[in-house]
Amino acid sequence: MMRLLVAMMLLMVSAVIAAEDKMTLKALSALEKQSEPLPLSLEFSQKKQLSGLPRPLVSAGQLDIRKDEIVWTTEQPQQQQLTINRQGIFEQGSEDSVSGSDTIAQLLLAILQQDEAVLKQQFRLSLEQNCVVMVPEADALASVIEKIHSCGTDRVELVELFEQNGNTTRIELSKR
Amino acid sequence: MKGVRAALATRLLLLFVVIVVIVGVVAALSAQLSNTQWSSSLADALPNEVSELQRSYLASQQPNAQQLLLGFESQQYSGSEILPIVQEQLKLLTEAEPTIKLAEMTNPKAVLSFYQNQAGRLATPNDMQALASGDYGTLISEAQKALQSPAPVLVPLKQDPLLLTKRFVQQLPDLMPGYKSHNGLYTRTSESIHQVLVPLRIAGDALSVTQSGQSVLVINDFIAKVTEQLPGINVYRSGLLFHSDAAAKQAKQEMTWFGGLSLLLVLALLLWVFRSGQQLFYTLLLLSVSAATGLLATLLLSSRPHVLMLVFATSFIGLCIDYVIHGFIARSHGAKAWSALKPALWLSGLTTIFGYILLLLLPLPLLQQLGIFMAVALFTAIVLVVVTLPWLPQPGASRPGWQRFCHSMAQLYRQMRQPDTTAWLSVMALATLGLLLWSFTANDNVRLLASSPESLLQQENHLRKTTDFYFQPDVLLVSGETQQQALERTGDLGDINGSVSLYDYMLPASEQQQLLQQQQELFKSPEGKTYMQWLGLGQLVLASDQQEHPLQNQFLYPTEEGWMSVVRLKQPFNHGDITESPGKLEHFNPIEHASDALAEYRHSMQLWLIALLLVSLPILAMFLRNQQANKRRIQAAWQVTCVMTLSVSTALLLAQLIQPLNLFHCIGAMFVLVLSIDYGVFCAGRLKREHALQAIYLSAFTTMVAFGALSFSSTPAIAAFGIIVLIGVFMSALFSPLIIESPDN
Repeated sequence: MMRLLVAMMLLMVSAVIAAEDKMTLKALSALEKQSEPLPLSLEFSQKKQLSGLPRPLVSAGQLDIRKDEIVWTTEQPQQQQLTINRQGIFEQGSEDSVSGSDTIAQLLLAILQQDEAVLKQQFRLSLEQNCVVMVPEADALASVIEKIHSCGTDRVELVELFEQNGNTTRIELSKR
Repeated sequence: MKGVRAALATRLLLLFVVIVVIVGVVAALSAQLSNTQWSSSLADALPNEVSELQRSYLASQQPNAQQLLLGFESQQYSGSEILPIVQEQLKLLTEAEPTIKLAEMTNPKAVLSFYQNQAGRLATPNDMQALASGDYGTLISEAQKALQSPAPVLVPLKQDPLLLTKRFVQQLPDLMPGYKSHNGLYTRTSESIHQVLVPLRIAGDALSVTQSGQSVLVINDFIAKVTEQLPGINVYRSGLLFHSDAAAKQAKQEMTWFGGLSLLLVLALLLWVFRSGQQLFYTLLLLSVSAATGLLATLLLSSRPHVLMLVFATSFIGLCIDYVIHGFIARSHGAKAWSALKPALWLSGLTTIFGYILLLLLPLPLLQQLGIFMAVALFTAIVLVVVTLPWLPQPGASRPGWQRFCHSMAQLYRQMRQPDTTAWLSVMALATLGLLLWSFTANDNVRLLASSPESLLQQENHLRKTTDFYFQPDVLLVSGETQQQALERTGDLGDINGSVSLYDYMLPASEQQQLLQQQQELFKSPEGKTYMQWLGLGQLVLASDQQEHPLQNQFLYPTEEGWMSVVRLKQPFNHGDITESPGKLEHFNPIEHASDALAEYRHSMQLWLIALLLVSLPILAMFLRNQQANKRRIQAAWQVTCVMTLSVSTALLLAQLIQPLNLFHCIGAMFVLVLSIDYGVFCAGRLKREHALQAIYLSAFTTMVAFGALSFSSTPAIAAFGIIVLIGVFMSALFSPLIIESPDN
């Protein structure tokens, strides 16, 4: 009886692990479908719903995704250009990155470039409808970000960033 | 018959008194020991040299809790391959050994939660300046730009609409630069090398050799299990525990081999010479009673005795054995030899005691305690030898072979002695002393006194170089009556290159209050009101009261009079960076401090050695051969002084060829000097030279074997002591028979 129980437990555990592996593979496959050849120019509309604020903060602009960097140009409500690369987030005309922005910059770079290797290393991946759900593994990131959604069928149409403090950032992307 | 009975009664009475005194001493000592607080740090040994702040800092460094760091590195395996295996094995390790825990260097969740609660109360110096100067437009524009960036906002906007604390968080010093935290483990990939770091804390008693050994055993087992699953992975260890365990194992090995072999040799020699175990038993008893009396006196006269005093007092064992050997050999040669020994025993003992009393004049409590211990213990030992030795049955004559050897040596020295022997002894002693003074090289660096296996040092250095986790031993100590005052004063120091303090992570209450008021003013201004309307917010919500920062226990400590903020340095300290103010702002380097303390002790010991040499000459001239003419007395005293000088100088001169001189050489020299007084006085006294040499050679040989074996120790401090004793005692035994015999022996 005991042996049977142990064997059943083992089967259940291996089934869960196999299911997780299968889910990750599906998520990776979805990410591959979403990825597009670089360089890529997109328009974005961002809605930041911050806890305590009665309405979302809306901004819009253009996005140029290249192999090594992303140029994030906000046109509304305030003109601003940010360059995002592995070293961090740089404001226009500044040689120094925004302090401590390197981790988040590498993350944004990986999501918007659909860098599977980095995403697989940093997140636990799963699939919900046409959205790849990314849950951070490392403590520092997990203490800030709850999860990230990358949604779309044959390209990334929406990126949603859920912060641990209840803030949500929704970035809709469309072809220019 | 009446006379015999009276003598027996007196002896019984004396025996009773001695037993009562011994029982009294043991009882008083046990009572006193239970109430004694022992000091163990060098800081306690030098109260005049350590300020209140420095003492508090040393006390705060938790000597009983140790931090260690293990590093796993590989090019072959990725971080995600190494991490789960390390995590799994670590779980098993911490379950099996509850004293070992993960040392949470930074807890990102706790740190972020602190800043979220304190949002709006903390701002960078630039933002504070902009607020103070009314540059509201820039601050609002910065906040708007941050809000339209895709990066997370981190802090609650209602408390911090200008995102001042978000910018403050972004510029915090990173204690683990480049590393990602995974529930207390850290990973980093640099130049295709994947590294996983495991910071551990041992909660048990680090001073316990058994516990340290057990901890190292389970950690090594943990490492072995990880390497079994990841063959070829490189492992690096860092932490005092590994070094102390290696040193303990080395010492144990040395003790087993050197100690065991030398003990066997000494016992075999004593049994061979005396043909009885009586002497060994008596020596052990004498040592215990005398040491107990010395210790009792030290405990009664010192408020906080220092454990190092017991280390310094090792020479007592040698002296005690010396007295017993002389006593037994003299007794074996009959009453006349015993009578001839007693004055020499008193003279040599009292001169040595006087020397130790001189230590009381030095301003160092540790040496004062040593002076009390040695003076009382030696006096007790001499009294006991003189009083109790005649009670024992007359010992049998020592082995004829030994007697023949000493007789031949006495004859040889008689042939060697010439009228100009005194002149030769003087020239040799003064020349050696001159050479020593000319070539004197000392180094008191505390790092030179210990040794660690090369591989362990390489592992430690590798982690130091690659991780950037480590601070310099230098710290700046800032005092304050309250935590806030200490923090304010730390802030007043300004930006010192490479420094990290609590002020980098939080602001004092006064600055926080000012910041809140200035923000209120901004939000009352037209620009502020427009911005708040854009956000859709009514008014500023104040953050909760000031909280304790998660890193506070690494930077802020209580002192007797208030609080102390510690500024840690990543780069070597530059004296031009601050103006020290005793009691308020002090630079402190514990390594330098320990080295300075050792230097101070070495200087005092050198002074003491010179003083004892100078004082011995008139004392010996006054009491040695006191029935002879002045000229002969002075000549004998001078010869003894020459032998003392020659022995100590030669030992120091040769020892400094191996390593620069340090305190432990001086402790050895102290031992050599007092033994040289003994040998010199016994040779110059009324004892028959053959009898004196039997005792001197036996004492010298046992001392050289027992203590000289330490010169082969791989621990430089122990080897320093051993080499001095080995050379010094040999020189003393070699040259003291040159002293001209007393005509009335």
